[in-house]
Amino acid sequence: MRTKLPFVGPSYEARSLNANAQRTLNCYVELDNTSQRAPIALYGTPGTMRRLTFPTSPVRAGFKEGAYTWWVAGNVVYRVDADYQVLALGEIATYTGEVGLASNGGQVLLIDGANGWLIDVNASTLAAITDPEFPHGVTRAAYQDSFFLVTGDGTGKFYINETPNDGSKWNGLDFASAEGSPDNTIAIISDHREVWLFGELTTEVWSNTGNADFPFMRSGNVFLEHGCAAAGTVAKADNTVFWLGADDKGAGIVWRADGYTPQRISTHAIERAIGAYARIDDAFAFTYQQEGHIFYVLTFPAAGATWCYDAATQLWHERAWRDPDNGQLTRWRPSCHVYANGEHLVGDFETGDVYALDLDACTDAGAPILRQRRTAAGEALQQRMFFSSLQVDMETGVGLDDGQGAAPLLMLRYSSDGGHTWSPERVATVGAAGQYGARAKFNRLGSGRNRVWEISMTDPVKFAVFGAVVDGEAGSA
Amino acid sequence: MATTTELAERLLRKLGVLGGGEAPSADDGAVAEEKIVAVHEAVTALGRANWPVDEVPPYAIEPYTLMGTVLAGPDFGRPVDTGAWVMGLRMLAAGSAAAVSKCPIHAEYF
Repeated sequence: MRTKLPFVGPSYEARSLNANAQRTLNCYVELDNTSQRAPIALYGTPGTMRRLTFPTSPVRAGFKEGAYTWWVAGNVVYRVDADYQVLALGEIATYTGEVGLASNGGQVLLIDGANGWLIDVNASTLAAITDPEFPHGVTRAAYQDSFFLVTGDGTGKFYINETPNDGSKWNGLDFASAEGSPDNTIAIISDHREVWLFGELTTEVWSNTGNADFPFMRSGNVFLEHGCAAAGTVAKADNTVFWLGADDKGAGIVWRADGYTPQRISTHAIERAIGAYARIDDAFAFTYQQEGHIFYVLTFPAAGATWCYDAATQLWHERAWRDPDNGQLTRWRPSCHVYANGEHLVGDFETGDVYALDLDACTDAGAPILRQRRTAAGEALQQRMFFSSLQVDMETGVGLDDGQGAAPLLMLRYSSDGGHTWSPERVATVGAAGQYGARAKFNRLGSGRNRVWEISMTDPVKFAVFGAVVDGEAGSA
Repeated sequence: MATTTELAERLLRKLGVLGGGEAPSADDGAVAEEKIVAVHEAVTALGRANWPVDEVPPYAIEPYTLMGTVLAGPDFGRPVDTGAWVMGLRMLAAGSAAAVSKCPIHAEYF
């Protein structure tokens, strides 16, 4: 009997693989209820195209202001124009670690946990902040209403510059503390002209009251009983704020704000994965929007893992870079994101490379991308099912003219025990260029009770999967 | 020549229990080997086999596998096709006749 398999879905590896062993790697789900054939489809995540390489590394931060993008790579600050011509502006004191950036339009404030610098956007110059009252040690920066706001020096305070729109003047008395709870403030972000102050256990939202002495104060009784597990994970997108949470009950839930109410967006499977990491305080995130999908990209450097939440579908998938030398999967390479020149530019966490994310690119700067989809375990009242064939419904005829990808192959393996052990790998062609009628079909697929299917592809071709049909019948044993 | 283990794997593949390239689990393999031995005993009793169970000649491999599906089918929840047993016996008969005719015949002198 031929049946359609529920083949497309998110990553969800449950505590018991028998319950759910789903994995979606380097591809994301798109929903389209106007399509009868593919109401839920799986598309490959963007490949990367190298746009430039800084002589110093790693790429620590990037920012768009005026006609240029501004980057920190290693200990050097660069200006990059629309033609990707690079101008080195000067050096900062640190070579690695996250860098906080914020702009007031004319100045870009740059902080690295030790000192502060200002980029004059019009003059394209870099100067250290020499005001002795600048709060050295801050790591996070935001801008709102002509003020730079900085925090993260371990004191629990946040500071603002003394003179509006001038990041060079600071007054040691221009600070405040989120005192609704004694936890340390570690991150700050401005969203919809409100300042979100993330503590280790709680969060407060402040707004600008116009008070001449210190313009910011807490917005009414807005106080969230969830804090932040990693300062770098606070990011805004989709008209709200996202972060990796922590509070006095535990840590490792990913939240998005629904108004002032935290809404849990991580699943038990994601939380289980995060809970298994030795470190999560080093996590960082950035957001970007491509073809209507708003992605919150959350990377755990020590664990070598990257998770991605799509606000359009509310589903998670994994992203990973495959080392071409040894085939090992590790964290996705981007460390920061800037949208400029109509491109999504990302910096490499290890090298001085800046890439453009391109949905039509099918390699990571020339290295093959492993795309993988593993289904949940099928179930037929625990009867043994006999499978004579599986046809993956996908776009075929996508081969390249020559080289790798000229005869693209889809790999299949399956598990009959819910994902614990796997069959040998099988391959099927997905059609050379123009062979649109090619079928990715596998025959003689044995039997099992809790069948999990896994397809993967490394050829540098378009990846679009709509589902699968299986020929099978239930046995009586 | 085919061994019992090889025939058992072939039997499991014929039943659809195993897919291409798969190896049987120990339990499934043991059941299938039991059935191959049973087929061999039956064929021997009918005078159709004069070889050890672990040295099944090439022409008997497919008949053994077919007949094995009749015995092993119920253990794996597969429907039984009794016609497969008859078909296997016929193939064996035809095979043994062909095998005899193709052998050199030595003259015997008394």
